[in-house]
Amino acid sequence: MIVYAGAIVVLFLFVIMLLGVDRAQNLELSILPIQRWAALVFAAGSLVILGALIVVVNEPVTGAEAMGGTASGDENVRLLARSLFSDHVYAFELTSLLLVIAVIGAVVLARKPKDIQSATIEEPGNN
Amino acid sequence: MEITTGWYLVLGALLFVIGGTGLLIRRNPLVMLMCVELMLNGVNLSFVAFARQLDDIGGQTVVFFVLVVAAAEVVVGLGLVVAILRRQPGATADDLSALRG
Amino acid sequence: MVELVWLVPTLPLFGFCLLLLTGHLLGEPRAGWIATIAAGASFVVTLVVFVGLLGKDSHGGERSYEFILFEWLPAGSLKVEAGFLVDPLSITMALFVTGVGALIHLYSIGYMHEDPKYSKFFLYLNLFLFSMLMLVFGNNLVVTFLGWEGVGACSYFLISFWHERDSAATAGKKAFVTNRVGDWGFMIATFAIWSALGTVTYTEISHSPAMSAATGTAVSLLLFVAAAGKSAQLPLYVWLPDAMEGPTPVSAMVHAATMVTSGVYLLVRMNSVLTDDALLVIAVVGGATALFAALCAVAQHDIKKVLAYSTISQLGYMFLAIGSGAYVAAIFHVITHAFFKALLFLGSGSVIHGMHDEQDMRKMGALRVAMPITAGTFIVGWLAIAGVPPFAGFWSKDEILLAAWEQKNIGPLLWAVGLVTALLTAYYMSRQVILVFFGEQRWEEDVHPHESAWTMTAPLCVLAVAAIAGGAINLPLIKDWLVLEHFLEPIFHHPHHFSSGTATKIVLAIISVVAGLIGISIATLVWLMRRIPSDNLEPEFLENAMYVDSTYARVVGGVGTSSFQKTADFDAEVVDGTVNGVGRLVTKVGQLIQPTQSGYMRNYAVGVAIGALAIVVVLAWGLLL
Repeated sequence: MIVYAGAIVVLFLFVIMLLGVDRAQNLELSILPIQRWAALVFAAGSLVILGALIVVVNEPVTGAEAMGGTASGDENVRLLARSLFSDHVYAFELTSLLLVIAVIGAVVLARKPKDIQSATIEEPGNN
Repeated sequence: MEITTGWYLVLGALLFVIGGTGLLIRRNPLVMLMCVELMLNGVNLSFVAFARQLDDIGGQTVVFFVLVVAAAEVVVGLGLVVAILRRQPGATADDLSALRG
Repeated sequence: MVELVWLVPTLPLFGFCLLLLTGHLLGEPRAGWIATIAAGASFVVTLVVFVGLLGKDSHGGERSYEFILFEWLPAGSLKVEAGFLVDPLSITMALFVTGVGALIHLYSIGYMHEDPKYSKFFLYLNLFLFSMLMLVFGNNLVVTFLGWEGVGACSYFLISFWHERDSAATAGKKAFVTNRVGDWGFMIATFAIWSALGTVTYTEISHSPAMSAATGTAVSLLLFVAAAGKSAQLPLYVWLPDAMEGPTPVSAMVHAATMVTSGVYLLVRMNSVLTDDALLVIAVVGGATALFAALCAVAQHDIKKVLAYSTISQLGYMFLAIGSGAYVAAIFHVITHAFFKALLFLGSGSVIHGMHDEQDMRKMGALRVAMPITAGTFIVGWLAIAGVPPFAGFWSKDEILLAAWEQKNIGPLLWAVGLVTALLTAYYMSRQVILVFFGEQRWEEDVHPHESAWTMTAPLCVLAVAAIAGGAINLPLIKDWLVLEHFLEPIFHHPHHFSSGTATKIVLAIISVVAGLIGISIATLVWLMRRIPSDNLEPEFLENAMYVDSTYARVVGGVGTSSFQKTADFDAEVVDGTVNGVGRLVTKVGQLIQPTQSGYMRNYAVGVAIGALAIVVVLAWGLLL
């Protein structure tokens, strides 16, 4: 939650302010008129289905076993940590790796492009 | 009026649908990314609601991972969006249509 | 020694291939000699195989030998091999085919002298010999059909050999197309036989149980259609007179001695399948053809056309014999006819050659002085065909007339038709001999007829000897002298026995001889001694062959062509239209679907979204219900 509100949303805000994306989209300029109607169909259909499922289905469907109890309050965090570091430790490590890659990728992407001239001059042994 | 799990699920569904519709309609890549975030969060809410209802910590674990991956994705995605929009301020998702048949 | 049978068709095939590749390099006359040697060698090997076959029966074993080269068409329960069957019937046919064929090859060396397409002629002749031998030696209907089609194709090539002449090219096409009608009959009969008996091999067919009467008659009649096409019976005879456009050796070989007898061979080979009703039809058609052709021959002026109609008439005799059940008589006549008809054709070729390509008999006369050998041999041939004893033709024709007399339904009528035909045959052949070799000379001043080279006269002499002595293979006087009949006996399940007493036989023989002599004397009176005026004896009606041919042309050209055109249009519009329409439909559907490939990622996203929605609906359906 903190991660989300603090980091990601703020990041979005930074980018929006950087790029000045605030004008509303001109809806009449849509190249594909069918798109709007298809989106409408999707929206309506999804709401109907999901609503129906929520209302109708009362017992568990897949019958999978619970992974561990959920207690309210402090117990929650402990159980979560236990689950993360024992049952899902591989996924946990992989996600940390993923974050590192994402950071590196972002740094590379955000660089201003160098000229090609300076790139070749920097090679050793080239005079 | 008691607030049961169903309410949370409905909210999650609403978030998901609004995000999905927005993704299909909007052209600005930044806005589309935000819509993707909306969808992911709608799903997260559903997971948490179920975790609470079924007394299963697995739901929260999933949310944990979804959040991490979403964060990584947003980072890279925004980097890309910045790089593209820096070059071409008016770029939209409709600019790529070279693969039309 | 019997195993060498595979060499017999292979030698002319080898000659064909060799001449195909190197013919124009070898040139005249080497190409001709190569072809003749191939044909002659084939004859020698046939003799060897014949001797080997004779040796096979020495201790009551079966006198037949099947040699399978390879399995040609294995298709489910249908087994067609490329095989040879050596039995008395096929070896008899092969003997005279290769023998007469070799002589005609030799003759052609002289006849085709200085023709620009010399080597091409010989390669066609060799190919023809190969096809005919495949036809005769095949051990099942399909191999025979291969040979059947082959001889038809070679006949086309050879008839239109001088294709620069429009009439020759047309005659070739006419022969091929008319033959095709017969081929249709052959094919349908083969299919029917396979469907009824489950086999197409001759040995198995002859040992199969009989088919139902209706199927048997249908198959027999279809086989007869095939034979009528190939052997020029009514109504499919029209190609033979036109086929005289080809060089004379072709007329001798293909249209007298060999190809046209393949129809007779087919029916004799399939004798176990022929039903009595079909046999009656065959006899009637054969007799009618014989009479019709003899009438037409009476009024012809071209030396080769007389012989063409004579061939049709004699073939009618053979079918008359088959229809009366006397298969041996038919084969006997095939052999003797091959001798004397080839002799007559080669003789006429010699005359044409000597008269520098003049074919109209009205411009000949008194040629016996200028061309003695030709005249002598031609006269031998004439006596043979007229049925004068002891020449070969008398014995075979007499046997046919006897068989016709004994035919159980309309015997005496058939015999009468045969007798009248014999009279007419004697008449028109005598007319021909007199017009060509006797009387006053009627040719123009600048024409100098001369005797032909030895390559042409030698075959004539050999054939003349055969025409004189050929009857010896089946003399009816003493039982032991019926050599041919005994030889061919294993072929037939129900061998034909003449039921008349000796007295009847002698009376009938005398009557036919008298008829022949009457014909000869009428011709002598009219043409030689000029006692009776000849004006009324060559009506235009007969000269134009009773307008049968022109009627065909009018029907096919008029009504026929428009119905053919309609069929073609139907094919082009409906059948092709459907096929093309399917293609157009596919293109249209593609064009309809094309907008989905817009290239816009958001469209694809819509597709994904709605697809996912659909999947959820499907999966949740069970839960919701």
